[in-house]
Amino acid sequence: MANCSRGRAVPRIGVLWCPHWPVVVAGAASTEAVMVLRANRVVAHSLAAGAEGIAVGQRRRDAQARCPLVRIEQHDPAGDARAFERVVQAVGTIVPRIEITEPGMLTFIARGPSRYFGGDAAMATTVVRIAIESLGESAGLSLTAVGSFGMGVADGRFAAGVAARRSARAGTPAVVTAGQWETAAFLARLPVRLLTVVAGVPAEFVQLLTRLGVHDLGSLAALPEVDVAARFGPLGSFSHRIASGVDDRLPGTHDPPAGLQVDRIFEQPVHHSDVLVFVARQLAEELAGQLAGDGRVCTRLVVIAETEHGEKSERVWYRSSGLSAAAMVERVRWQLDAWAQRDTITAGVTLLRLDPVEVCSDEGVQMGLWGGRTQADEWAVRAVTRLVAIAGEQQVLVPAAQGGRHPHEAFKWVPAITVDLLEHAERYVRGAAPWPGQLPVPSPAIVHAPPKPISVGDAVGREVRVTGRGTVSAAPAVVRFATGPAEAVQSWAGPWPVEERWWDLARARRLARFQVLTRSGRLLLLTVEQGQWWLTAEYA
Amino acid sequence: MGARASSLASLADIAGSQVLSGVVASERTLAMLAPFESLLPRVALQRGSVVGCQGSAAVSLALALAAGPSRAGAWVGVVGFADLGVAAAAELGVVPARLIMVTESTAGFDDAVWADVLAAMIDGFDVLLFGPATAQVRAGTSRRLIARAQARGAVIITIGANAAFAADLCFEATQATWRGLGEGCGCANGRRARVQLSGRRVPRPRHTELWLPAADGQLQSG
Repeated sequence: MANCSRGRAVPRIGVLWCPHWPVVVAGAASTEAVMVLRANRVVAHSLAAGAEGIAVGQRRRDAQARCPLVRIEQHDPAGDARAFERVVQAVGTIVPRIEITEPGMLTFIARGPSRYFGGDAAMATTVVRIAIESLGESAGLSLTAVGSFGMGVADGRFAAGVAARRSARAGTPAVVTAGQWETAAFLARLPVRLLTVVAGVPAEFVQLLTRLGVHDLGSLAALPEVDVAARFGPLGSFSHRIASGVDDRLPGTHDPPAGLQVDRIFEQPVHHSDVLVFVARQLAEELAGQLAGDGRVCTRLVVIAETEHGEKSERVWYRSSGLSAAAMVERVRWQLDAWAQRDTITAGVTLLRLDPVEVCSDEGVQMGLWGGRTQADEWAVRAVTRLVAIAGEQQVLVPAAQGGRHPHEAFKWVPAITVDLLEHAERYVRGAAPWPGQLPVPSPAIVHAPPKPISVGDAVGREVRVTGRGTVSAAPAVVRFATGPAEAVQSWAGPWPVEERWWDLARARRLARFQVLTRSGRLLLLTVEQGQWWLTAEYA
Repeated sequence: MGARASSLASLADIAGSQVLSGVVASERTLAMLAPFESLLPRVALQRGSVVGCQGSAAVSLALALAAGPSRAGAWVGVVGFADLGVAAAAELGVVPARLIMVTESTAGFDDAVWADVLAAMIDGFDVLLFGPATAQVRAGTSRRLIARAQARGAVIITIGANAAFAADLCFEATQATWRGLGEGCGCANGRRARVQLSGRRVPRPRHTELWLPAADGQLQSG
């Protein structure tokens, strides 16, 4: 496979890239420090924030320690994609067949446009100008906070990506002269870290290279290819190939056999994007299932939607590590949202088609059979992102173990966006060491936080009191709720006294707890604190 | 030999010894905890069905039903039930790492938001626990959502009476007695419940005795 791909000419690729696109969408002013978080880690930041020491991948707390005044925004990939659609359209007027790698980055074959505009440099300057103009038309989007668009033209996707990266720093388009040796010379002095950043090679592999003394791409390319392949397998030979400027298609990449596309024709035109996304999900699962059956995964996907009046939306989506079914659905949603936003649709959609135009053998991205990530995990994580968009970030919660004497303290509900959902970490495990004063197992299934005020009476109707020495004035006989009828007590246990933080006058608490079983069979957990009774939890 | 046996034991531990079979997305059923086997001979929840939990032990029943799929890798979404006790859920077998709660905002959700929220949950999670607040969803909306759950293969478990989401299968604790409490002494250490299964596909109601929960907080057959 490696040999046959060697002979193929490396296509000339243009990459337009805005390195911190989510910050642009967040609407940052030119000198404002802004960072965008996902799962509590920085995914993008403005230049001002970068100058303070904030970097991609940092934890929220570390970043805030470096720059306390930084404005924090949550990552919204769908919003980023919608905003990027403007740029895609504007560039699409002069360049055919644009691939969107991620919101903020697009890739295209440079040969045709370069010829038309009279050279790579002229074409690159025009593309950047058009991209910047497209943002100028819409209010609120300004590139000043993150610098400018990076534009790179080079042989192969990797070299072009690296060139775009450098161009974003320099502020002028970077063009690498065509030819394998020129490409290799351009890459030679750059760090191997770029393999991870641009080509998506696992970070462990790059760390291994660094430990072995291979610090730049030139020294990797200088090694004999056969030896690298023998030592590191397909990943090594792929890295070696792109470092030498040969070819950057993933090993095992090939054009799929005809007839792999899946589509759905609607007899009744569909007007809601939700319905389309739902159908897209069935199509995506069907397609991913077919490919997975042969041990392959789709790396480049064309999504086509057509309305009754013949209006058509067609986009090419690319992901080097392969598009899972959930990733495909996400891209369909982005595309439909952007299409609807343009406001040119005059009729319902009658056709939806997913067409894989490039597939590669599925290595290392297969779902875990035992532990690790599963398909269910991936769907769930995407659903959480969507729920946050619909209901708000404070409304979507996950439990985190925290420990405590009271039922509402054992686990705390925290917003799902602040944690990495797939990090099966300690936060769910209750400490092995016992909490003195914890309630006995089984735990109550309903926990009232905050507790509800109630009153508890004895057999003659007086309020039951608990003395400072932990004795009750009389046996509880009746429980009166704020609403609803009073209930007679059948049996009860307590008082279980709790004295917390007696050393801290402001936060000290003294209370006594009771389990009370009513005649109707309800088991309640009651607390009395300073003469007031509370309904804390119910064993339902 | 000893090391091998202990590693096998730990593997069985990870898998959840009470669960009879694993969750595979393509399968039409979801695993249940073993003590339910006297009620449902195949001990599995049909994907796409609506399961109701009623009676005084409704919450514990719903958690016990969700525990089987959860242990086998499914995600559980809870909505309309902000008072859920996570400790009890964990003791009954629901894995907290795969538990997501959606609460209503203080202003409340209107019908359109409810529809969007529930639809997103049905798309993302295999098991849904619908609390009493979901009963306010309009009939047309709930019909569409049930159809969506059928297409997607999610199981909806409702807690308490819920007119919007009519149950195909209904679990009800007809008698439930807590043990261990006296007159000012002891502590509650288990509930014995007589659970009845009824529904459209069940010609005659079936009964079983369960510890819901037993003294260790888990579900046990009685």
